[in-house]
Amino acid sequence: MQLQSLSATGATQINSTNWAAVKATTNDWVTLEAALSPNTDGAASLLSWSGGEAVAGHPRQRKVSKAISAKTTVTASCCNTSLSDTVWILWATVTVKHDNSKTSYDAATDTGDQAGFPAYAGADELGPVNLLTNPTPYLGWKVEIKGQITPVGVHQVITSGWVFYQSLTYVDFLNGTNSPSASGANAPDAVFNSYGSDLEDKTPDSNENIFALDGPGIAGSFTLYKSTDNFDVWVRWNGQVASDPAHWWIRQKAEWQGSGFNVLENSGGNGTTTIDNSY
Amino acid sequence: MMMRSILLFTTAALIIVDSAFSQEHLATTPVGFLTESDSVKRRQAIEALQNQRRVIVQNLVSILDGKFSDDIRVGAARLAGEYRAAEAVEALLRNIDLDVRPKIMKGLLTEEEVRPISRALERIGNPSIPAVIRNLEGSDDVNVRELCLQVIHHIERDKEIARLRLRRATDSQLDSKKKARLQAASQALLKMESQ
Repeated sequence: MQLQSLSATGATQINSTNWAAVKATTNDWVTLEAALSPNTDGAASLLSWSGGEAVAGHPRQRKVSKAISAKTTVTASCCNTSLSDTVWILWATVTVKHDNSKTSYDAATDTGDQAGFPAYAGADELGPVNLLTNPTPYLGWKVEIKGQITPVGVHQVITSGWVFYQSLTYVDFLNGTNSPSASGANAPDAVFNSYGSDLEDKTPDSNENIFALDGPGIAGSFTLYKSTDNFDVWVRWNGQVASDPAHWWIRQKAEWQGSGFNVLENSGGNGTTTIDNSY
Repeated sequence: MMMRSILLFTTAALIIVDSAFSQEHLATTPVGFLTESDSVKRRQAIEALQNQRRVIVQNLVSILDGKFSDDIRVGAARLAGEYRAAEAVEALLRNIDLDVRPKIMKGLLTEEEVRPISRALERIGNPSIPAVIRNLEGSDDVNVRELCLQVIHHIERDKEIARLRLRRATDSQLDSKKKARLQAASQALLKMESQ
């Protein structure tokens, strides 16, 4: 008898020995199957397994739960041959940073990335930005969005397929009073609306993190501006939702008052805010 | 998905060109004729491509000077910058208001999206500087003057040259109001450089 190969269903093949699937809340499994020669359940009596769980009634199969984000190596041994496959159950935890300097694009771990906010948005400090006296005026709230991926070691194997998605609800007032100039909510799962794909560091670094930068606000000249926004941001891997959403908000209000802009409010944080329907 | 662009030639022939440059595509595009051994065909291809560029730039200028929406003119401006179209400088400057119009951003925009006109002028580079200086000295709008100064600052990475250009313009300017604006611009440039 011969142990010929191992294959998996319910997961995406990354390379010859690695498989990945997104964590599932339902009772879902990745199933591995050993191909034997002869390929019968009778021959499987000589097969021993480590890692994963037995599949009742299917001795040539082994299963790995998708309920927990973990790395599981499953080994089948028989007849002086051992074959191992590793199953990665993926999940990310998204956080939004609103203060101090951004931490992404550390040269030590992200060599070669195009780091930084666009020039008009100022330096790397996060939080409120008031550059309304610049040639390109900008009032913004800058954040760094981080996706911490599990399990540990994933950056060495699953380097692509990671994307941030973001949606928002908002009411804006511009150069008028009393009535909003715009309001609404974009469609769920809208593609992340950020400054170019090159600033979305979607390759996990050695700490298993992916990053994106954002900075909602207003650019240009105006007489009156107010905006309240609630954002939801989450991670997808290979098109599947791979994190819970992180919620964050901004509140901004500024007016031109004769000789200069008066910034009445520029705040933000994690969680949600009350969307203002009146100025 | 393959991007396609339509190129209009003087012969009025409509040729569709694939942007992907495989050997197969080269054989069917005007650029492909540049690889021909026949020098006449190569020269014709160069002329056709030059003419194509000229027609595109003329159309971009028409859009910039036309009664189109802001977004349409912004698109034309960005392309004029991509084409380094010195012929479009005056038309771009006539649209400088597009850079100062308010843009509510639900995410970070690129420099090109925030200030499409001045970025296009910066891409065009040196050929845009004389007109930008004229705009700087002639505009009553402080925002426009600051944008013009920023363009000069970004084009002339050599600060000495930028200052020299402004000094020359100041010296030759007889109008006292314009002269004062240029002098103020020189001071502002110094401040920009120190930041």
